[in-house]
Amino acid sequence: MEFEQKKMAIEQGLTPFLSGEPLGYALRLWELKYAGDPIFALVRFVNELYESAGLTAPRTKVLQSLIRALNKLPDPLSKAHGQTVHPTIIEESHDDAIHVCFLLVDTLIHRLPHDEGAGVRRYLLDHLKQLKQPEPILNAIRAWLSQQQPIATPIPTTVLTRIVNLAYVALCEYEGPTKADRALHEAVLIVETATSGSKFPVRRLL
Amino acid sequence: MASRPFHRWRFPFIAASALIGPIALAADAPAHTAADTLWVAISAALVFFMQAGFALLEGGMARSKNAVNVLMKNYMDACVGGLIFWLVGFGLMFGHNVTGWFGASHFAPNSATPWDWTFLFFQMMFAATSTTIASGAMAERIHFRAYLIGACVISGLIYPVFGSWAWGSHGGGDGWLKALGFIDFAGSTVVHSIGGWCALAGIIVLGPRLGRFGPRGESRPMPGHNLSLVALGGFILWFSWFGFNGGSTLTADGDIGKILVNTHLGACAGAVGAALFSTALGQRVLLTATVNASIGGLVAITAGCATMEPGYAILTGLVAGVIATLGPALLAKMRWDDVVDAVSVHAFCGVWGTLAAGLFYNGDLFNPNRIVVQAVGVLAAFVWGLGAAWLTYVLIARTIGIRSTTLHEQRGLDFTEHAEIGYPEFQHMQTFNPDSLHR
Repeated sequence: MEFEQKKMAIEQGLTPFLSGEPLGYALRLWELKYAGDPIFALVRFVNELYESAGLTAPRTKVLQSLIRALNKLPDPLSKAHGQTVHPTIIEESHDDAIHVCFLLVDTLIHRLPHDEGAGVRRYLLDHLKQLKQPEPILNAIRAWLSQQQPIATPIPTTVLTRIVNLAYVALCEYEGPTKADRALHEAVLIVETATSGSKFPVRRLL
Repeated sequence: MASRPFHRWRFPFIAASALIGPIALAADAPAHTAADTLWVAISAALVFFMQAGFALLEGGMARSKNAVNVLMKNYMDACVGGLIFWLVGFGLMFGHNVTGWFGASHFAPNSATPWDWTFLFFQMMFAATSTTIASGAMAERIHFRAYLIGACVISGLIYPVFGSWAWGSHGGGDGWLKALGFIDFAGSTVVHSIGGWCALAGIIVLGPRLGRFGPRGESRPMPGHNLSLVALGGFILWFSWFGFNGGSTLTADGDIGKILVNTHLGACAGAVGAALFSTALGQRVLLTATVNASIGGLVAITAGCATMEPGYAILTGLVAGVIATLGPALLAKMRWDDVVDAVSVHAFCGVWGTLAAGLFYNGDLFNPNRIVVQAVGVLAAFVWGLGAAWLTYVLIARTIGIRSTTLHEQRGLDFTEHAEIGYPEFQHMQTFNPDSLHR
């Protein structure tokens, strides 16, 4: 996808919610920090807009609008390989599960105020042993949680479900169960929209 | 019921040889009139209707993802409780009581006089009421099978054994509390405090729901999903209480009117007392607190509704309303998570009502001897109810497990225990995978 095309799509997606200087600021922010990131990173972009650009519309709507606009652009993968299913796509299905899982956890954490988000991250780090997984898997998750390093180690789906649950427990501890239920539900909607092209539905992690 | 010695001659001594197994009940018992039977049978049906009241009240106070589980617990504890009470509970409670500590005959009765069947039916409903009190307190985090095993122990052992002390015995002999002169007309202590103490034991063993208390111990509100159900449940319980207290006369006589008036006044005063108390504290008057306070008033007046004047019934209800308001704060301070405030309403208000029955005894007000006997009964219920239930739940926890996993709490027990949800068309906030339903 060409940079200019993506920028136009971002502008188109944000137009219903921002105009004038705030819209210009949002585009500059996207160019500087998020233009090279995958579509999952839109969650962080939208979160940052809420903190700095005075967005008031529901996050889900903003995100949906952005993703809709981006999805209208031609898919470079299908352009390159036609309609055939390439082996790398099949291999990606497990990566998809990991991506979806960590996007969901990331979305849950980024919705919180900074201190509480850090608290949830700390809680996850402190309780990783509960997953009872081999050290390489725990180390990979630890590296992702503390330094946002991508995960290359295969992780079973059942373990991914337990990671999401651990994040939910942490949210209950920090925010209370009522807010945790709502946060998990809203985060699932956001991730569902952001990963609409993924082979792995986020609800399988619930 | 225990405080009416005139009933003793009606149910004479059953042969000591008839200890175990199906036997004929009090064959030579004096005849009750058809009106007695009709009144007690209707009252028993009203008491059964309390199950619906509890189901609605507790279901409404739970989150929508646990509504089916709460309803199922209420439905099934009435079923298993009924069977267990017929099998062993009735014999333990009303069988021939030689020692004063438990009955030892009338187990699994298969033949009896017409009146005995009526009496058994009425008592079966009381047992179900006592059993179901614990369900709401332990909602949203207990395994269904663990709850049902606990319900069997309450119906078959904990409730009937205490009942034999206070109300025994239909089949001959006396319970030790009854012999002391303990007054508990329809069961403030026997039914409600015992149920409440079992609930307290359950919530101590279970621990609080995820995130119910913050890191500094602060209590976090967890509102129920449907306050209309709560209000309707409150009304149904109130309505059914007329059978609970009125039917405890066991005769269709002229005492019923005053008992019903006192019952109603107790409930009214409970709600008004809570509203006044909340207002005096500068707090909003909440629907859940008001409904609970009226039930607290009903619980409290249950012990003395036949033996006190209406003015004292109002006083009893007013104080119960205050207790029902203060109780939840005390439990929260202890980090005990009672979803429906059953401990405050049934245990605490039951204690007060039992003491009030001694304090305000008609024609013999504030007799210290009577008050001491009442206090002994209250203490005995606390020790036996809490102790036996705690042991039961600890044993369950250590054998088959009692606490749901955190994943189950996230998904909701409707999904994890029953694979169905309460509001499939409207329940949009799903924290489980809906594709796995009904598998």
